[in-house]
Amino acid sequence: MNNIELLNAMTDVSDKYILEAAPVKKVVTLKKKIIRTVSAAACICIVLAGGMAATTYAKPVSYIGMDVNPSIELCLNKWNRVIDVVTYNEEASEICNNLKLKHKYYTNAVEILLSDDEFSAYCKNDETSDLTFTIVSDDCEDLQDGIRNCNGYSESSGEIHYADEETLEAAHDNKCSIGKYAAYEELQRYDSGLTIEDCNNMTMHELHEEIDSHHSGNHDSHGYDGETHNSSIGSDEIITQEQNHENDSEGHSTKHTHH
Amino acid sequence: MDDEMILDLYFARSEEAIIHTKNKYEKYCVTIAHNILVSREDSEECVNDTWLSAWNAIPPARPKILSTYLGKITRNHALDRYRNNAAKKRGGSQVELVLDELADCISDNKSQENEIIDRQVLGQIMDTYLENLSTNARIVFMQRYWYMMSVKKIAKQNNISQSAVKMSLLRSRDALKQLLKKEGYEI
Repeated sequence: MNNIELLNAMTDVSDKYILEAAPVKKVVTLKKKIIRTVSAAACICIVLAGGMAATTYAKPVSYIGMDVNPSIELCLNKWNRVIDVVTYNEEASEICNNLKLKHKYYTNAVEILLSDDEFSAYCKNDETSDLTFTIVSDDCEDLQDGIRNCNGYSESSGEIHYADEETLEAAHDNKCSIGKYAAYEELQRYDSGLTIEDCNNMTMHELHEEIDSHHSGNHDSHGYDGETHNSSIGSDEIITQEQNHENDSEGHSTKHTHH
Repeated sequence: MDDEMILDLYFARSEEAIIHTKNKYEKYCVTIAHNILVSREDSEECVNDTWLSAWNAIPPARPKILSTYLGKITRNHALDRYRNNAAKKRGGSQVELVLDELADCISDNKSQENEIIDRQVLGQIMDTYLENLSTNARIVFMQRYWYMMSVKKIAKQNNISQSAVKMSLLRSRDALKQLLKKEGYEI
């Protein structure tokens, strides 16, 4: 007799002991089933909603470019929160390294920048500094209103432009800030001969001066033609409300209004 | 369908009997076989053998409790198959652990005297032994050595800790050892 035979012999024990020890199937009541199903469905919904919210939160839908010489781009999500800050030159990097702009509401982020000593030094409301906001969004007007109401905006040399996504994409492709790229595009119309690298190395004030010189017809280099100048003003690739207004009221005046 | 009606189908030699038996007891039998054989495929084959054995045995047999009758057939088939598999060295079964645990209870040496002891006699001794165990200890013992359930599963099923299961089994084995010694089995 060995152990396996002992096990075999145990097979023949009374049925009552076998029944007594039979593995119990846990009965799941309908109520428990419903609770489990609902809980599982709720968990799935929470996970999906969380995933979707996280994806939506991290998806940029609007952009605000801030160019003086420092060129900063704030990427905003659906809720106008800053989800990314892109800098295009060393000055901008130095400024942004010391500031916490991410996850801030865009007006807060703009106010932080405008109140920053280093950044505001570039935006003195004088003739040598042009702060250009360039908005790419489906809600340009709302964002513009928000920026205008920011503390420090009226003291700055700020002006606000709109741009379309095509221009933004082209700017990104050329590793250029949206504000400077829009100015570069405008200068291209006058066959100014400036390259994108040239524009990247110029301040917004210098770029505006260059544009203004073409507009006023004083620029005699690069084969500027007054007719080309005139025809290009009405282009909608980069349009400011101020420009529109001035174009309406003053014909082809190109002076960028500061607010 | 209740067991009496299923048995009537067997007696009428209707193949419906096997279908209803399968519907009602397949899970139970597969669990028993799987605890011994581990392999799903082997367990299913073993349970198919059970249906055939039941078909051949009923009639003339008319078991009082169909579930335990089928369970016993399955267990026998599974242990037979286990022995064949063990020869082919397929491991992982609870049986190896169970046999280790029972090693102290009965000798592995086959003496002439022990060889002739009828399996049925040992079955009766086991009945007596089980009768003297407390209900809880008996359930744990049977789940381990009849159903070959893992200690973890037994603990979960009975809402006790694994160490409580192991302690209960240790005491039960000691009692079995004493009883078998008393009955003249070589330890």
